[in-house]
Amino acid sequence: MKNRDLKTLIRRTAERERPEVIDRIDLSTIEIIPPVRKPARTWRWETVVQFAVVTLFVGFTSLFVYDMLTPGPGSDPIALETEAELVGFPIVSAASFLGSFESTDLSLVPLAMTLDMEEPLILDQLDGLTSYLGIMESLLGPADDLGFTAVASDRDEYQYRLSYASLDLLGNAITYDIYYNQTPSSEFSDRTEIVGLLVKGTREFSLSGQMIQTSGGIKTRFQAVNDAGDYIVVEDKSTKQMQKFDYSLYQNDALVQSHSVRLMVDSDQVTAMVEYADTQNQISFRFHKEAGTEVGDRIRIRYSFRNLEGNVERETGDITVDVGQNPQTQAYEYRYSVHCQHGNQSSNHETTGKRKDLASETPGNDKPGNDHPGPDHHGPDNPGFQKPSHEKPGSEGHGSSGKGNSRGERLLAIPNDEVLFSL
Amino acid sequence: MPNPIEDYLDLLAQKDDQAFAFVYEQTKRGVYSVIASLIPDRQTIEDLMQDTYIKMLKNLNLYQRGRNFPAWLLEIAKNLAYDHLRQNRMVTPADPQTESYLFDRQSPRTESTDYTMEELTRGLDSEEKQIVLLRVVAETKFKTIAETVGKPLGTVLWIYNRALAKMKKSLGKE
Repeated sequence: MKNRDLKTLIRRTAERERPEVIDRIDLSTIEIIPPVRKPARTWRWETVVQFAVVTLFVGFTSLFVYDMLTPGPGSDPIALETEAELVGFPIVSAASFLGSFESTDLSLVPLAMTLDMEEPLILDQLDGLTSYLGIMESLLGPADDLGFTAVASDRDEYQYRLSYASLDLLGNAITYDIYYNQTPSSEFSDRTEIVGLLVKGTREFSLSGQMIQTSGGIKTRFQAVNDAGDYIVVEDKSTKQMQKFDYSLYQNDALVQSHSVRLMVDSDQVTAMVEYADTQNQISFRFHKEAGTEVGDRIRIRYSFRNLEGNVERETGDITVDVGQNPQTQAYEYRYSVHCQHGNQSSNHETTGKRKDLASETPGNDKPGNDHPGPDHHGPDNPGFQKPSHEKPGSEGHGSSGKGNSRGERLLAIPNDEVLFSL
Repeated sequence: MPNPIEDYLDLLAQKDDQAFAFVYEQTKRGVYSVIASLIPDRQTIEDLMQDTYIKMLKNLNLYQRGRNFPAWLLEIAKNLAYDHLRQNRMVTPADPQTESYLFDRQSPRTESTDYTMEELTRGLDSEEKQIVLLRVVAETKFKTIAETVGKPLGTVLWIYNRALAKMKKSLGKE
């Protein structure tokens, strides 16, 4: 049975069984409790003085304490806090980027920026921007809603499972499941090897990586591989002042794209900054999500192009991204509204771009084109993230998967002599 | 995003019938969903729905404008349902007359045979029922559902997907 049919059945049944009570309610017989009126305050001079003194004292003390506690200029509040989030986010984001890149040619091309360009620079970059919007749709939003949960594994070959759930701009549910085994590293006592699988609806990505226990918490490095053998490496490059992840995408074993993502919390909302650069130029995007139209939420992006020689800012601007339905194809697409500042000139542009429907592989969505059955991968709830254990779960070796990956896909081992982090 | 219900609250406080009709139409499915997830008996559901709206009106001036009116109303409905369960010690006597068709059914279910809500949601716990009904029947936003059930958004989404999968499995076995 399709989800759409099940929902229709539920609605029809509810409409049939739901009683109508409006005629049973006589407003004239109901006594509405009047609003409570607060008594008028009368001021006494002594009370005012006491209040002012206390306020000044508390205010001064607060400033002093705040100054002591504030880590310093340039600091960003932490978005990822729990171990489930610190492990789950790089894996989910890597797979999401990998999935978005599959249909896009992103060979490394120098960012062509010349003084003679009249067209806004950003218009050439919108295709690349589309690749980031997929993960941003589900990642951005209230900081409390980062939905990484440790649950019991329902696959015999994997010991652990993390589940991630979020919403895209249309309000459709997006879910990921990360299955993995962990074994202590044979060479480094503070490292744990991870081998597993990321499942998103009908798609699976093999993954392998390491977790390192540091004095500042867990650091991670993961690789995710798709069916075509393309892989993406994500490294946690966070410091005490910021959370940052570096991504490197390889196709045919050649590096084709690299960028970094910084996560921040701004007014209780997770925002992200993406930066990528070549030897001469750098482009950065700052993403945040906000309530948009009746169709769904929207993403706002602040961008800047910078020429690294001379540290010159070439173009800045704002992009509003909404999701709308193409009248011909009925598919949902991104609608960009761009305001850019190029030197002394500003201009406005509107265009559309393809949207990869990440929610279509997740059961439970009812937007047109999104109704695809997915694997039934629920299980009992078992909150609490499992810390890296030094007990072998029956697996051995570096880069192996214990009882074996169920699909037998190629898993990439991480070279033992590679320096992953400078601690 | 402006909430149209908020525009009617002043009129509602003056017992305007049209304002009440509007608010009722906008919220009846949500109120039903919350109560039906806890109470199986139709008559009791009807009584509790009536009590919910009466209580809403009586306490209308206690609602803080600009917050989330639907969530506030759903909270009233939920509390009344729980009060009823406590008072009746969670025992709902089965009415042989209304449920006799379940035992009398001889032929296998066909596509034209209507399910009851009880049959559709068999195997779901009350929280799963509440989330599914609020989302599917009342088209409540997940954020409001999370507020109503008192769980994080991510957990609500996970429970919702799990509940739908359970329902499909249960129906598939018939």
